[in-house]
Amino acid sequence: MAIDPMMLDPMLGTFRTMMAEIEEKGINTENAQNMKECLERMETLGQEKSDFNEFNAVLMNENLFGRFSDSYGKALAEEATQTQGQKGNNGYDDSALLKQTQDALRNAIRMMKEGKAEALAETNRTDQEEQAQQAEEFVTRNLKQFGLEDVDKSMLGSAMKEYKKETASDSRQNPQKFSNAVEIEAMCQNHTLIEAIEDVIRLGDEPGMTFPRYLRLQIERGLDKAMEGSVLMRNGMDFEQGFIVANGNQPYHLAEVNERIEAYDKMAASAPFGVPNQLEYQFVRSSIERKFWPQQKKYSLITDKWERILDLLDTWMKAHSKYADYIEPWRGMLQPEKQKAIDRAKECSPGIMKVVEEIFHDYFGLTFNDIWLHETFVNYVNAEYMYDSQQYVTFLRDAVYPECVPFQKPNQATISEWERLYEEKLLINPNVNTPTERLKEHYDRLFGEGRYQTKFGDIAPPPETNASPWDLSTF
Amino acid sequence: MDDILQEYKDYYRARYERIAGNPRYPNSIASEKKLYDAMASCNELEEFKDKIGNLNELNAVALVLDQETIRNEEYTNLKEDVRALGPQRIVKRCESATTVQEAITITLEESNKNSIEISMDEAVREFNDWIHLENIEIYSKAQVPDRWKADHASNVEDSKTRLRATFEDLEKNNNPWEEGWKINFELIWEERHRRLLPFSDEIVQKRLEETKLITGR
Repeated sequence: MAIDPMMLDPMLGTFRTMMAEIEEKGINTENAQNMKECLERMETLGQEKSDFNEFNAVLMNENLFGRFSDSYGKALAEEATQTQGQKGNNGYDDSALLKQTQDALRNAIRMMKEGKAEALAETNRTDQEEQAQQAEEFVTRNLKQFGLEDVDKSMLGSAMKEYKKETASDSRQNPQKFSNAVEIEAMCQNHTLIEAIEDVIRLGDEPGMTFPRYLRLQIERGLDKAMEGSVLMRNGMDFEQGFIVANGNQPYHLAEVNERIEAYDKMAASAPFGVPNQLEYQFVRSSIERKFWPQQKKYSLITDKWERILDLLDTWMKAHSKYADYIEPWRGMLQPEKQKAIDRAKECSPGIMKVVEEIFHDYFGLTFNDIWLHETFVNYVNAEYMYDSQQYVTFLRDAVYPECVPFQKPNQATISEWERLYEEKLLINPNVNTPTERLKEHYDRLFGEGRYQTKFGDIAPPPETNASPWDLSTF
Repeated sequence: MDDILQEYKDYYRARYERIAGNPRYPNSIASEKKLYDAMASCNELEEFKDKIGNLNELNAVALVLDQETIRNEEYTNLKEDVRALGPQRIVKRCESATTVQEAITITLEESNKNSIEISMDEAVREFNDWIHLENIEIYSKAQVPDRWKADHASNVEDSKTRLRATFEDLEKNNNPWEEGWKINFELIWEERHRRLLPFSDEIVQKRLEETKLITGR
């Protein structure tokens, strides 16, 4: 079985186009022949191999991409040298050299504009229903690759049917959801590069300009550096920083990107023409990322662990309440599995929680009582990621935890208190939607008012709750 | 034509002056100097054709040498020993290169080879996910009524099976890339991998021994 065309074609498409270009130009040198051999080998492997990983491994081990690209560059260089030679050795032609360079730059601008136009056309053209159909066919052809060989085919068929139905409905109700035109318009910063190239073209168009003066002035005015597009890198960091701020709970990631921005600006300030050496900046960036990585990782691991502890306390209480049958995670289950799951939560949660606590302590030297003042908890609450209300977490901490011991049940008073909190709708943080609202606000700021809604739909209404907002000063 | 000659001299001087202040580019500085000297010594523009010889080609090779030397130094400083192998080999092979095309071919070959080396080296980071080990610890140690012990034992076996499968699949998937590739857990102690685990050595050692025991690797 061959590699699926949906995977093979995008991978080899570029190489096929490059080969066609060489053939159209009538180049038939040894390098063109090498290209042809490499492409034929890739195509043959694409038909012989069925495993994409294996296919890729052979391509890389035989350096087929590298050899093809190398020969392509050489073939074009040979052609250029030949063309130059055919134009004759009629002496130095300054205006021809200048024109050749200016034409190349104008061509670059044209290609950039076309690239953006094509991306916009593509995102608007894509038929979602057709794409869903293609996705179904792709999955059906590649069940083994996706580990779905043993899945019930009728179940799979129903799932795909449902997916296509939802896609069709979404597509009709909100066609903007599937188009990235707004995002492409806002994020495609071509104009910055185009302006830099146009500056160079303007220089070349100055009356009396000569080719060597044109080249020298580009260096002296830093115009060639501006064309490298490092401003895009700087814009990218601002973009990243904006989303981290909107997230509100990534302090080390924020510190990292801030330090990167500071380092970049410092390098820019001391570099000629304000453009840092990109190779040197790459390693400065790498050092900064390495510095913050352990803190970022530790931060998320600590959060995961205490979230699990709170979750186990919560589940234990739910299981003991008279509402267990009617609430998540058991509501939709059928008997007798439902009762077994509830019993397991009642009887096993304390033992499991104690081991999670031990791991938490072994890894980070932290205990249950350390959670509440830890930066991960404080930031989490302040950024409104806590689903549970302050009343409820206080209850879990002060009343439930001391009773959550292997082989024990909570006291009846504790169970009754949980049921009261449930009945009076005091379990859920009233500001639980704040992180999504924050993200929406940021998204709309970037891509236009209302864009979040057209892209991702309405934010689900907040759960009904009578709890007060979190106030850590009283926790 | 005299003006053009002078303008070319000015252009080559500007190129040289721009790079001259950067001590990390010694080969390029020397090469740009040679180009400028060749141009500066011309009395007629036509002379440059002969005087330039293959200096332009060597100039491109010099830039590759400088950039790859910087990469090697930076990766070495970061203790990224495997990532440094590519630049090291490019520098070694490019020292005798005389054309741009040679330098491009060498760079493509070595970068491709290095990318495979990096993938194989970083495959050991599959160890960094301890979800199965933690589940094994939780379900082995949790104190629960007798009626749940079989369930927990089954969970432990399931996690062990998954952990074994993780490394069996990894070796199977990496073999087409490097024949006979086997996981070498000891690599985790190398700085480039160890830095990604924000735990004490004792904890890492404990998880490492558990992994080796369960996977038999």
